[in-house]
Amino acid sequence: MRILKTIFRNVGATLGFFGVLAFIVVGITAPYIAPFDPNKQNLRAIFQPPSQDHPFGTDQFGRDVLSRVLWGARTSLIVATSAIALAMLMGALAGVIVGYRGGWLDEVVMRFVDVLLTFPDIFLAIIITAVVPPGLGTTILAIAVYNLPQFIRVARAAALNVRENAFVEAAKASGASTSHVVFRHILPNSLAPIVVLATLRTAASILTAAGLSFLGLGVQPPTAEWGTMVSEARVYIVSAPWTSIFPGLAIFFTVLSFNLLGDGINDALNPRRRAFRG
Amino acid sequence: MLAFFVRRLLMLLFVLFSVVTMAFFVMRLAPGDPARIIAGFDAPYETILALRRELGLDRPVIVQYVRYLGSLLRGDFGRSYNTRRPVLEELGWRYKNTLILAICAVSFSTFLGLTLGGLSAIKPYSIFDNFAMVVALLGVSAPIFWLAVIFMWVFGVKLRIFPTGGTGTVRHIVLPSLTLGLALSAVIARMTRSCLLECLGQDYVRTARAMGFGERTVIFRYALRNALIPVVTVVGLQLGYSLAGAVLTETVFAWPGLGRLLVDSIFARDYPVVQGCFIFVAFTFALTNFLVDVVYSLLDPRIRYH
Repeated sequence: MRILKTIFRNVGATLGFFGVLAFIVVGITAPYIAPFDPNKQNLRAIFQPPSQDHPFGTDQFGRDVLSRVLWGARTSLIVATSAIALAMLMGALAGVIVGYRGGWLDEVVMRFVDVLLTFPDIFLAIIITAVVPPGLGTTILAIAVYNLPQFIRVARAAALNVRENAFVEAAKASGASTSHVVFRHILPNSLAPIVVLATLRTAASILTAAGLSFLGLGVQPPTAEWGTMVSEARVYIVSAPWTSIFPGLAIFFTVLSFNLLGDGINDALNPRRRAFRG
Repeated sequence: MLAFFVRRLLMLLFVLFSVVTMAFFVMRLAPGDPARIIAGFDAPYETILALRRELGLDRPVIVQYVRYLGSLLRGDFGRSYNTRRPVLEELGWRYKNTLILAICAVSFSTFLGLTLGGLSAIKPYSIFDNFAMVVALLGVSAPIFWLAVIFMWVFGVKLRIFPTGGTGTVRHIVLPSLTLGLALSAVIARMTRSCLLECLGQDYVRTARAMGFGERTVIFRYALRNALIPVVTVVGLQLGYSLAGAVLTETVFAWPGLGRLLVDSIFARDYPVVQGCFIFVAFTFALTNFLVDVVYSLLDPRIRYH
């Protein structure tokens, strides 16, 4: 609640909050609010400029761009939430366990993280698509792997901190098993920074997923996906610019909202930074 | 100092070795028999068997791995399945193109980022500061491939100032590096602003002011010098990220670089080339990170003792 209050005191973060909310609502309700079937082709109505019937115009197959942008929100929402959830699950478990245990296991996992981090940004996601046939599931897996090193690091750091608490010592002294200590004491108390990281990584994940699809390595056509839409439309940028502009703007505003909200949450949780900002 | 350097160097070597190992085994997971891919799907069984033997694919994986390491050390990255030419030949000139693009983009972004961030910090919360930070936020939020398409449309097609794609002249590099640099400059601007603001609040800055130095001297001689230390790290890291962004910009502007080659090779299932691209990118990124660490420790002696 305190966090929400701080967010609403900040204009940017408030805008971000409502932008993110709109994205989620559109993603969930796309089938009900989209005026047309996103994959319905109408070859007699191709490349129609924005009009009353088609506010965002139509594309090279006569599909309604607005409907595809709305459905695209759904695709992005599915990819981003599943990938973040997957990375969070794997990363939190691995990070918390190695952070608590320490020793050689910790060394091995952290060196593995170092290796993953040697592939800058989207390359880590591309590695997955190089060996697994492309599709929605592969995109989710690729974005999850792309986020994995960050989650392992943050979870490990949190666990290292929690481990030093007296209640952990008490649990161990009272004869609790290692798994009991990890799952009942370490993990729940390490969750806060992991959840914050999840919100911060969403923007980058949406951008990267769209980038993958733009390259043809992500979600495959005809599924409505913003990156794929820009990729297919860019050849028609001269004759039908609206087919590229609107899906791009959708990515832009969604990512912007997540960034604004992320900044706000960071400020709210980090009073030093807040004071510093004046 | 020497111990720090040696430790970082050993870490670099370990990471590079792991990257090669990972590249080898991940590509093993890829579906499809390379011999069949090269020979073609209608090739007789004997041809495929012969090819398997020729490529060493009939040996145990561990033998193949050791051989692969050995040939890498001799600078042999194998041959492309498609063109049959050595991977290094295919990679070399494209790698150079990508480096040119990356260096142009990073130079542009450093200039823009330092200017915007520096001016913002000097007059915090002013109209200029707010404007610059909004621009920076827009910069990190815009998808780079989409910006590339829009720039191509506006500057290449509508205004006809720059060519829309390809390579050859200096003018060809303007749009790709502008697109790539804009996204990177946002990060540098934000970093410069916050570091400079922090430094301007330090005791030594107050002391310098109290001693009657002019504002220019205070900022350039005292605050900026210290503020730039973390910024150097960010600029160095941006070089690595520009490699990643290059995949997207190269696609839009038909810039014949490593990123484009990587994506094309993935589609063609040309695994030796894919492997080579990954190794080149990881090497570049690991090497820049290593250099950044070394430069950082030279700039800020405190680091070495941690």
